[in-house]
Amino acid sequence: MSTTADSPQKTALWGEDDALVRVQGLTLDIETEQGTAHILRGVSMAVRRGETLGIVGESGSGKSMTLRAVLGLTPAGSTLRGTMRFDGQDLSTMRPEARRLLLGRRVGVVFQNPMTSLNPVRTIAQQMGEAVRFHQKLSKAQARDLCADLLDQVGIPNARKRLRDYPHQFSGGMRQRVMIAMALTCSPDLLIADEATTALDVTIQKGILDLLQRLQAEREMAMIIVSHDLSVVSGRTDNVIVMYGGRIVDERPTERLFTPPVHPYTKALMLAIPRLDMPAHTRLPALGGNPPTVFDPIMTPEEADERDLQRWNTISTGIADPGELPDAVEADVPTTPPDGVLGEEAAAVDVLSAQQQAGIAEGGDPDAAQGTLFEPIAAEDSALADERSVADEQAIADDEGAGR
Amino acid sequence: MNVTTAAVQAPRAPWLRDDALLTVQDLHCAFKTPTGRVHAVRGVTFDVRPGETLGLVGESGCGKTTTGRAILRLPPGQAGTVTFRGEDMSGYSHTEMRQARQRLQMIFQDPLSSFNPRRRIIDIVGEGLQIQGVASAERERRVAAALEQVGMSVEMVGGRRAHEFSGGQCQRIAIARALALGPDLIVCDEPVASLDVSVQARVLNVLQDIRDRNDLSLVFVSHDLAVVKVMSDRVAVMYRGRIVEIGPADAVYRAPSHPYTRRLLDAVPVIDEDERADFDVADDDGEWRTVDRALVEVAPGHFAALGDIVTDGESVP
Repeated sequence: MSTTADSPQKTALWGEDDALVRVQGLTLDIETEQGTAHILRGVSMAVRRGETLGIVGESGSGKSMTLRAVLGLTPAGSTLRGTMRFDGQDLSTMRPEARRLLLGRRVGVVFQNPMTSLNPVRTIAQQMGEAVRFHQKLSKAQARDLCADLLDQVGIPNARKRLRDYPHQFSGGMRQRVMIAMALTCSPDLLIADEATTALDVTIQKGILDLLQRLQAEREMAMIIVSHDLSVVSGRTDNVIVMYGGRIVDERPTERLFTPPVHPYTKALMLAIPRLDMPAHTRLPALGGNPPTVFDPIMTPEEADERDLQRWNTISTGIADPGELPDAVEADVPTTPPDGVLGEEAAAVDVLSAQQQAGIAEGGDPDAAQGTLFEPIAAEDSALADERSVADEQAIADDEGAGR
Repeated sequence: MNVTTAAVQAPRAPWLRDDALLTVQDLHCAFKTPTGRVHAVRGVTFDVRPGETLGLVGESGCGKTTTGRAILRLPPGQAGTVTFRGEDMSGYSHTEMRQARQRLQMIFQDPLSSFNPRRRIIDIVGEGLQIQGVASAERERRVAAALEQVGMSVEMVGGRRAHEFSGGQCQRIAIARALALGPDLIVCDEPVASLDVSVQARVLNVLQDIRDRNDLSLVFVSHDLAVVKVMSDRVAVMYRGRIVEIGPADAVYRAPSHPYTRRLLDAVPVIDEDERADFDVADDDGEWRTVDRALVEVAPGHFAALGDIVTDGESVP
C-alpha cells in the first residue's frame, strides 16, 4: 500500500490505478408513501486486485445497498445515479443481461444466511454443478471433480461424498463454507462477503474469516467484507470505509483507522464496543440520539457534517437521553415497478476530503467535550505502537502466504 | 414430566456459596423432538448472590438459554433443584410459581415478539402488575417509576404502540416491564444480540444502572464474550449442556483454564489484540468435545472441568 492518510487526494482509493471496481457519486432514491427515501447519498469507493476493503456501519447506513447497487440488485422502483466501473467497463451504460453475464462470471457473493440462498430440495452437487456448467463448458464428470475440489479447498471433510447431501444436512458453518465454494465456482476476480459470518458462533466465524482471507491471498482476488462489526474488519482488510446515513464519513487504511481513531463517528463506534479486558460494571460511552433517516432532505457534505457532528459529540455513559424520540417509520420499499435506472451523469455530491475530516476531528473531539471517556483513548500512544507492529507482522505473514 | 437422572443427592458443589439469592443444583433439561430426545442441559450447578451478575456464555446449542429459562421453570421436562430466596421452587404449583415470578423476571432477545402489537406500551409495561392484582393508581405510579429508571417517561410512550419504537427503545421498555414488578433477579436472555453497537451500549448501561440502583441480581445469557465481560461479576462457560468453567469474570478471562474457554476467547474478534489475555491454545487435543469431566478448583473460587471423567448415566446424542 502506497498510501498516506494525510494525502488530501487519498491515493489508495482515488489514484488513476488498476482499480477493479470503482464507484463514483452513487445515489439511490426510492419513492415510498412517506416520500422519497434517499438511501445512498453520494458514495464513492474503489477496490484493487489483491486488496480487501471493509465496509462498516450500523443498520440502515447503506453498506449493503452500496454492494447491491454494484451487483445490479437494487430494489424495484429505485433510482440509481452515479458511475460504476468494473475492470474498466462502465456498468452504468451496460445492458442488464450483459452486466449479469460479466458480473456472474467474475464476482462471487456470500450472504449472511446460506439457508435462503441454497435450494433446500436439490443436492449440493446439483446446485454447484449448475453454476459451474453455466459459466464453463465442462462435462458432468468434470464439473463434479471441480465441485469436489472446491469443497475440499473450503475445508469440508469427505468433499466428494458430501456433494450428494442436501443443504439441511450441513451445519451452519459448513453451509457457509458451501456458499463460499459456490461463490468460487467461476474463479471470481472479486469476492463479496456481506455479513457472511454474522449469524455464526465465534469459533466458526474465525474459521470462515481465516478461510476467506486465505482464499483472497491465494487467488489474488479483490475482496469486500461488509459488516456491522468493526472488530471483524480490523486486521483482515487493507482499507475500511465507514458509512453513516447513506454516505461515507470515514475512509482510510485499516491500520490507521483505529490507532487512534481520528474521525469522531469511528471513534464513537469504537468506544461503544465492549472489550475483553474491561472490568465488570463498566459503563460504555454511547452515542445519544438517532442516526439520520433516509427521509432527511438532500444536503451538502458540509451541511450533513454539521448536523451529524451534533450527534457524534453526544457520547455519554448516562442513560437519560432527552433528545431521543420514537423513530420515524422505516421506508417501505415498494416491490412492483420495474428495474432501477442508471443515470449517466454522476451526482454532484462527493465524499469528504481528508482535510475536512481532519477539521471535524479537531473541532469535534468527544474527549475534549465530555472529559471522562474510557481509557483506550488515554492510552492511545502505546496502543498505536503495538497495533502497528501487529499489522506489520500480519503483512509479512500475508506476503509469505501469497508467495507460496 | 421429570427427567430420570442417575444422580442420587450429590454432595454440595464446592463452588456454591451460603449467602446466595438463587441456587441451581444439578439442573437437567430434555426435550422430545421428532428425531429423538435432546438432553439440552446436563447437570448444571451455580448460584447468584444478591446484587451479583452471573454471565452464562457459550455458543449456539450449549444450553445457556434453556438454563436461563429453567430458572423461571419455563421449559417442560426439567430435573434438579432451583432454590430462590431460600425456598426450593421445584414443587411449586402454577399459582405459587406465578407469585414467585414477581421477584424473578426475564427479558428476551426480541422484545417486539413478546409485546402485543395492539396494546399500548403503557399497558404492556403495567401488564405484569395487572396480573399480580395491583390496583390501578399504584400501577400507574410504578409504571411511571419503571419507565423513568430506563430513561423514558409516560409522556414519551404516551398512547404509542410497540412498532413506533426502535429496537433499543423496545428493549428498554422490556426492562421497564420487568422492573415494574420489583424483582430481585432478572434473567436477561441475549438482550442486546440484535442491536447496533451504540444502541447496545446504551441498553447495557441501562441494565447496569437499574441493577446497581435496585441491588438487583442478573443472570446474563449471551454468546458475546466481551458483552458478558463488562456486565458480569462471575462467568459460567457452557459447552454441550454442561458448565466447563465457572469463576470470577476477571479470573476466567485472564487465566482461562479449560481448553474450550481458551478456544472461545481466542476466537473473539478484537480490534486491539492487547485486550485479550496471553494464553496458549496449541496444546488442545479436543478431548473435551466428547468427554465430560468434573469441575475442580484451579484458583480460589475458580473451577474448570479438568477433573475425573463423569458419567451421569445418560447417553446423549
